[in-house]
Amino acid sequence: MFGIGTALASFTWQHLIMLLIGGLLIYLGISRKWEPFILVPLGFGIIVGNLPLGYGVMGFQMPDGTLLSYLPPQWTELIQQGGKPVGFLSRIFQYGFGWEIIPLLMFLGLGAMTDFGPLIARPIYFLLGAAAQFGVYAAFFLAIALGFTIPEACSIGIIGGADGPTTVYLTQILSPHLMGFTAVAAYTYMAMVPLIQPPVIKLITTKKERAIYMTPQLRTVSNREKIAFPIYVTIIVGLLVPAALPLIATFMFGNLLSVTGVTTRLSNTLATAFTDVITVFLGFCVGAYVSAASCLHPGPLLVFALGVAAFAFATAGGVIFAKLLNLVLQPKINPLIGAAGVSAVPMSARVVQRMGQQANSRNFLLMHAMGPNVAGVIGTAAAAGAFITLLGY
Amino acid sequence: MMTADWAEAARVAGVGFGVVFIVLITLWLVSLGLGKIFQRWEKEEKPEPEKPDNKQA
Repeated sequence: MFGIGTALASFTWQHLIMLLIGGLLIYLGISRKWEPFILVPLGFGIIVGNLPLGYGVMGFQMPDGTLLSYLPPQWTELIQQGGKPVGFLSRIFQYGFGWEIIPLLMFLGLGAMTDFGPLIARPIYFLLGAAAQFGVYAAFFLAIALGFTIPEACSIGIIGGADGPTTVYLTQILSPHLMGFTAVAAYTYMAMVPLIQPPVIKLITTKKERAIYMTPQLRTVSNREKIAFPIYVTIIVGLLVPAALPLIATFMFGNLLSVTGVTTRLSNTLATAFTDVITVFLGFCVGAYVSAASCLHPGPLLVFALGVAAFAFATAGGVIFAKLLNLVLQPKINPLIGAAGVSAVPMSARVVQRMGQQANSRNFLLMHAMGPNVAGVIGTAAAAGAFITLLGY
Repeated sequence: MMTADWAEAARVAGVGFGVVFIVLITLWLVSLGLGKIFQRWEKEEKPEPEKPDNKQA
């Protein structure tokens, strides 16, 4: 009656596992407060997308007319052969992600929330943002060694950039079948930065290095500089890596609106309601895309393990480069701030602040750490653009 | 998943990481230069502190 018997008959242990995973993400979001704005919609999306016969949610009609209750990983090719999304979320997914719109709109909101002041005040932090991209390439090689194709390895490696929208954007272009896994890994591990980074940092620094004192004040940045910054960054990145322009242009445009002083209403909306709406759709749609049929295989599950490796290598890359910079810099910088180059704004900066104070109670590294933190976002976007260009997409 | 093409992978990673460094080094240098120009500009625009008027004093 009402399909109850049929739905229960179609319910498998794989569905049960997915419901448990969805429940776990909701638990982590609510109870541990790990990225709740993303993990709660993701978790609920996983539950909704993994109920059998839920054609109206994530349904897809195959070219031969068969109905699926989930979006198959090869959906882009199947659409070209006559398949079509028939669920309300699968339709949003087709346009929002297939056309790469939602991650870019997310970047618009993030730009409005970002303060580039610390980076403008001390531009050498750009180099720490670049060094932390080492994690992207280390995880890339690990993925290749484990048998992933080069486009798949790029999508996995970019998790090390700790930048959710860039990960989703790049994966949708290079290997859409992995999108659910890379997105879940990126957002889950971003929330786990306070657990992943400290042991890596402690492994490669001494307490004396972590205690290096840095004056908490950075120079005052004028409003003119703040207005010029998003404009010249967009032009330079657009000229050097045109494939990264959609990411950088939206990020910088959002930021420009927040610093002009005359578009406050626009930037306020972008940073609040607009970002919230996009976040809901991003989490809900990507969660519903993670189906039992395409997820419970060793290949995709390896993405999660490689994601941790990517984060760890990115942290190590930033810290080691900061130590190298200290060979030539005077006064020396605290190598902890290199760890903030993994983006994950502002969690990694907070980790640096906490560890810095544990080593030297006079240290207040937060403003310094915000510099590499936002430079890392630009670095990850450049890395994504380079991948897209090099692979000819 | 398929057999790895290590030469192609090395090219993608090597050139990619190089591009990231070139972009961020360029941004570092441009920001450094513009920062100095803006700071000088602000300094020049700041009104000179008023000198005490000897006659009135």
